[in-house]
Amino acid sequence: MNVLSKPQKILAIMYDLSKGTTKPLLYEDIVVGAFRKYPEDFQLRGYPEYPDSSDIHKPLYKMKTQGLVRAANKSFELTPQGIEVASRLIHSNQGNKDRLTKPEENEINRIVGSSAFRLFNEARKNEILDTDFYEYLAVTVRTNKGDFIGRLKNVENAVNSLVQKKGDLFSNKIKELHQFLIIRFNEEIEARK
Amino acid sequence: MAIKPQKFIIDEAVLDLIGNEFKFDHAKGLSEWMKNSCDAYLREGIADDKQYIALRLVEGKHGYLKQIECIDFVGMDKFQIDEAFKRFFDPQAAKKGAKEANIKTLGGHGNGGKFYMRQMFSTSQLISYRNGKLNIFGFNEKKQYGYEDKYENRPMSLTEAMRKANICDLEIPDHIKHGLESEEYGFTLVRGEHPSKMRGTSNRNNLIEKLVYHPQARRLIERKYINLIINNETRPTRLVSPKIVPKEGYEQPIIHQIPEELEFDNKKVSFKNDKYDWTGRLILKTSNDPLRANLGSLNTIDFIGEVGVIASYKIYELGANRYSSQTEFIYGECECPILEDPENDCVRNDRQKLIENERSQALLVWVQKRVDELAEKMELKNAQEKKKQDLKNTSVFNELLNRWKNRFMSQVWAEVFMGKGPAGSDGEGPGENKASGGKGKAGDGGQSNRAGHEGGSDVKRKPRFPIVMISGIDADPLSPLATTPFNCDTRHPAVYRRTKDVEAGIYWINTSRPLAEKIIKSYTSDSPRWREYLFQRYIDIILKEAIYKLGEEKIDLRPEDIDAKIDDITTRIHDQAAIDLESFLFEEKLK
Repeated sequence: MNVLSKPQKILAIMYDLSKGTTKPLLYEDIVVGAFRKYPEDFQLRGYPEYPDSSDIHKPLYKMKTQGLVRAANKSFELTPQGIEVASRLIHSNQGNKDRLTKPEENEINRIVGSSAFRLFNEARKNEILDTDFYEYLAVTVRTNKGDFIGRLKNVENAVNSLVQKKGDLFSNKIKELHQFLIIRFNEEIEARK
Repeated sequence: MAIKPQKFIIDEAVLDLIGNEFKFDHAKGLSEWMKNSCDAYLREGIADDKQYIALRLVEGKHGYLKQIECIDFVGMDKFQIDEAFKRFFDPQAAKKGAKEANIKTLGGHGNGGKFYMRQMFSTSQLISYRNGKLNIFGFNEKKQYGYEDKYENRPMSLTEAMRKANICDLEIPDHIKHGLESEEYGFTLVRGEHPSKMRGTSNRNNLIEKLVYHPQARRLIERKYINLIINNETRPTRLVSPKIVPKEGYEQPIIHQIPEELEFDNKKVSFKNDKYDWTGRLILKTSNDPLRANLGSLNTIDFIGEVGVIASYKIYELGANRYSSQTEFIYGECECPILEDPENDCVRNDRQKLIENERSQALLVWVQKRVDELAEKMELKNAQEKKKQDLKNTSVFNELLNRWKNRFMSQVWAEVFMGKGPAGSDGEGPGENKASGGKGKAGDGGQSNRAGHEGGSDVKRKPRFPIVMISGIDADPLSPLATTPFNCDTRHPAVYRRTKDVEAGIYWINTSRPLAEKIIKSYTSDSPRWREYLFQRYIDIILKEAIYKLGEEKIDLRPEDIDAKIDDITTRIHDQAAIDLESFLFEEKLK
């Protein structure tokens, strides 16, 4: 088994605690769970019998912007992408490099059903609205900054993975759409950075 | 082949051939004479405000014109008549005798005025006095030209000459009188007798009306002293060009610089070269009244070359326009000196339309697009104004509902969410550090006027309750310079927010949605149906706020939680509205 980094260990703990689902976890449960499984990594300096929550906090928020974790009301949950990554860590499974993962596949299917894709496909890209962009990312105008950036990352990863694994006309079209939306709605993205 | 070049011999019949193509009406012909008079002043370097031109119209039986004259106070000597006037098709004719080299003149091909004399009158003559000598040169009934017997360079006093031209009783400005008496200048009178009857310009009123709107003439009338004398009058009256009141919101002309290159037929066409370093510009103006009927001739784009108008196109002649109802309010001019570039001349003999080549075609297409853009903007503004009119009273309804919503939310939020205010931060995760630390605090549901602002040094005040605004009526409060209403797209949701609206606690009710438009169209904005539509959108907004509030409270939000909360809040809204909003929702006419 590979040696895991601290953030990877947190992801693995969350996977264990949620039993591989998107079930919300209390921050305190994650802190205690990490300390129990990896006491050397998550103990308070000078007090090895106590957990150090500060070591958990920063990686969690970083994973949030990577689209692996969602935070809501004092709780954290794995995203489908987070589950996929955690599962691979735990099971040392590198996955089939030529096939999209389930979350990636779901992401692409969702994009194909979006108004943004339809309009882009019909050469009506100038009619794409801000609300279409939100639908494309599966967020709303009220989605908080961290989750918004996380979703953007998830979609970007799925699109890149599609191009890498398929590389056909369809995947290039999706990539073109993604690039168009990123430029056109740059203001929306920047407002959340 | 080695030849001994000889002078070309051209049969006079060519004059009929070309002259017939001119298709003069008297407004167009008279404007040619006016241009010649202006060129006479230009050659002498006389400023616009010192130029004085008189037009005399003499009526015969039944009000038909029997004589038309154009008089300037410059005069020509025999040399000029021989060199410039007698010669047809000399592009330098208007410049002959100019004091300044490279002078820009209005005349182009050196034949417009002469052809008008030849083609459109039974006889015509040019009576010109300069340096103490009178010359009379004209066309006879057979359209032959020459000096009048005994009036070729005939020495004569000014008084005699003026008597011969029948202008001795004319009241003229002092500076002109002085110029004549000092023999610095003379005069030229061009007279046409028994004009051909042309529809629309055969009597004086019609001719004058057409003249002041004529593209070639109206610019001269605007800038110079062009005066009118009717029959035996001795005091000329200054002609004025009609004043056009611009459309509201378009008071200032819209100016577009012509790009250095335009594409036509997949080729790049240049509008700048070594000789012409300025590409030119298009100036579009609007009229408050439609430019039709007697104003119809103004509904044009005049093309100006180096100095004067070289072509005029009715807006519809530029090409199909998507907003034809708006284009009849548009006119303008396009200054483009390179159109007169001798190496690719776009100027026709009659100066009505441009010669068709890549440059003129590219420019016409570009101009048409700019006109179309302006028409589109005007159409949009019209639609917005109509919508504003359609939505009359909606602001009052919205104000009423806003107040009601604040009362309702203040009371219900205290009960349902244990005193927490509805607006506030967007709910970042727990313990998340902001730039300067600390997380925003949610509103207190009735204790404070400040709802949860986010942490940080840049503390923004948020309204305690969301503010609801109406698209198509309200200006964007987050764009302080906005003067027009904010409009949602027809595809935006019925209740719409932008990112910045979330931060400011603003919701927009989208009046562009098909259902909203249908209700207004079918029932008007005064109807209970429209009031109910607005009320329903308020319910949407209150429910959205409630669901987000619920999301902040519950760790694991299930569909059942949302379902139950919707039931709870909707029931409370309906119960309260039944008490508070009875007349608002049910009365046909709200007092």
